[in-house]
Amino acid sequence: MKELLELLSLFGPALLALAALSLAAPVIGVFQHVRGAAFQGLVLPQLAAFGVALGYAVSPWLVDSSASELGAAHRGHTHAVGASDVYHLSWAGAAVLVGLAVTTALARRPGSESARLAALFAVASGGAVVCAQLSPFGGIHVTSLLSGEALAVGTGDAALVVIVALVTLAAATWAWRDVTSVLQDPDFARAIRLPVRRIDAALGLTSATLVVVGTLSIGPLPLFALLVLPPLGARGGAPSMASFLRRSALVGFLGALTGATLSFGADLPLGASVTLGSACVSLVAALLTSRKNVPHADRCFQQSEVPEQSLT
Amino acid sequence: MSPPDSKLVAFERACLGLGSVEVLRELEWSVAPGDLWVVYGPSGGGKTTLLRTALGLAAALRGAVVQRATRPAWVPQRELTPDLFPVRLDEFVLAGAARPRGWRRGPSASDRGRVEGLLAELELLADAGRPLRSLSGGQRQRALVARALAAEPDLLVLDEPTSALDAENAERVLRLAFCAAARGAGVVCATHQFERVSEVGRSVQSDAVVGLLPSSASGGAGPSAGPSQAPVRVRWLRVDSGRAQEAAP
Repeated sequence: MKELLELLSLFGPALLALAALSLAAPVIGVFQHVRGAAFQGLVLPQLAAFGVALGYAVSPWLVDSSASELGAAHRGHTHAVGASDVYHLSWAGAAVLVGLAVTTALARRPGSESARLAALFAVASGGAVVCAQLSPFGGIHVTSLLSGEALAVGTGDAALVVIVALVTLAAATWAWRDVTSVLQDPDFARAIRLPVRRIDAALGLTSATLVVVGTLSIGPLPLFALLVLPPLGARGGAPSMASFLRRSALVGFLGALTGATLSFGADLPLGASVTLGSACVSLVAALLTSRKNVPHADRCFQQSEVPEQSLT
Repeated sequence: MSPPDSKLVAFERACLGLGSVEVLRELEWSVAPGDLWVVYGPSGGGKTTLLRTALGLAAALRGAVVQRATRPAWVPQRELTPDLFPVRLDEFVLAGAARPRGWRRGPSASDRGRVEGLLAELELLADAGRPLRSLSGGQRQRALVARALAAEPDLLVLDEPTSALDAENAERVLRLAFCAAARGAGVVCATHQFERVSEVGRSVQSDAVVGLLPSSASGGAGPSAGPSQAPVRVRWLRVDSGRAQEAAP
């Protein structure tokens, strides 16, 4: 008990940020999944990491006076969101938004969206490593960010993550029907005069904000897992879209819990452990619900004997 | 003849195309409330392009397309690919009732009631709780029709809505299309089965088809709150060889 309290006092903000992200990221992952763009779950965090590395690489020319602060202050050792956090957030946000703009612009051209996303992932991965090498003092920070050393999260960072996660969950709860309509059949949504572009833009902006804030706090590695794996685990047994969203969030949270337990129990990096934990929980969820994947006609008719309930 | 400003959609010397390739030339055509246009012609003649442009999903290459419909809805021709979406049939049909309505979200009680009535009319109520992906092709096509009608459209556009249906269900769908027109909606239906439309048209013109569609608290399927007084005007548009002209088959 005493050890647990010590752990919480030392790593409480990191665990709080992880818990918030484990609930919100799978919800965004569901929307990416049903759009057929699950690969965005890998691309967006990697772009954010690239943005951070780029920020370090160009900092000597842009912020002479605070360059030493950027180099000296490891992210998260500060307790409030300071100038260096804003600097990194700006670079990560810019990289993600540019990436989203490029994929949106190219979406109208013929070709595979997953191939375009894969190309973007490759560029972001190479760019992150090169920029880390070019940075006079950012390499170690970028390397720790990429490898998922996520324990050094300050209270200010954790508060920011929790706020963004709560806003994401609230927006999803409020607008999931409209978002689903737009993702499922954009032409029909356009025909019935739903604001398709606004909904698309809002979803992109929410995803970008969550990914940027999440990448800067716990790194891209666990975000990869939390965006991609829970929807895969939860989809099979979900009878409806609302259920799919709820189950994904639950699988994400259990995956993060498993990963954190593994990390502290076996003294492993938190980010990588969360990835493995999410993979295990998602696999178990998929196996447990695989029987429901192809609904049996008899079961369906039994369910639908009470139409009033199904319509509520 | 309806006055020009009552047209739900009007094409004025419009040239339509796919990308920059011209498909239809110099189109003069309009849809008024209560009209039921049957669009027919060979495959690849430009029927779907015409319908998409009427809905505002595609722009005319030249000329003007004036759209005054405030609540359009359509039944697409293509097969849905619902495998990624764990959506129940009733949820899917309810999506048709989605409208921009300020901060309030989610379907109302009258939306749910209307959807239940539509599912019953299309013999789908027993399957309301089933995932869309578990339904047959014919059931999915009827679900598309139900979703469009759930929108209470003033302009209903159907692109081959009976292609996967047996005779009984095809007649059901066409009667609902006549019902929507009888309530004052403009209906445009592209089909290769125009004989069936003629048969249904002959049988329903003398029937009270208005009662087929379930009403919401605020009104019926069309722009007016109640049934229209005028009979449904069935008109034929032949689309072929880059031209579209009114002509009975």
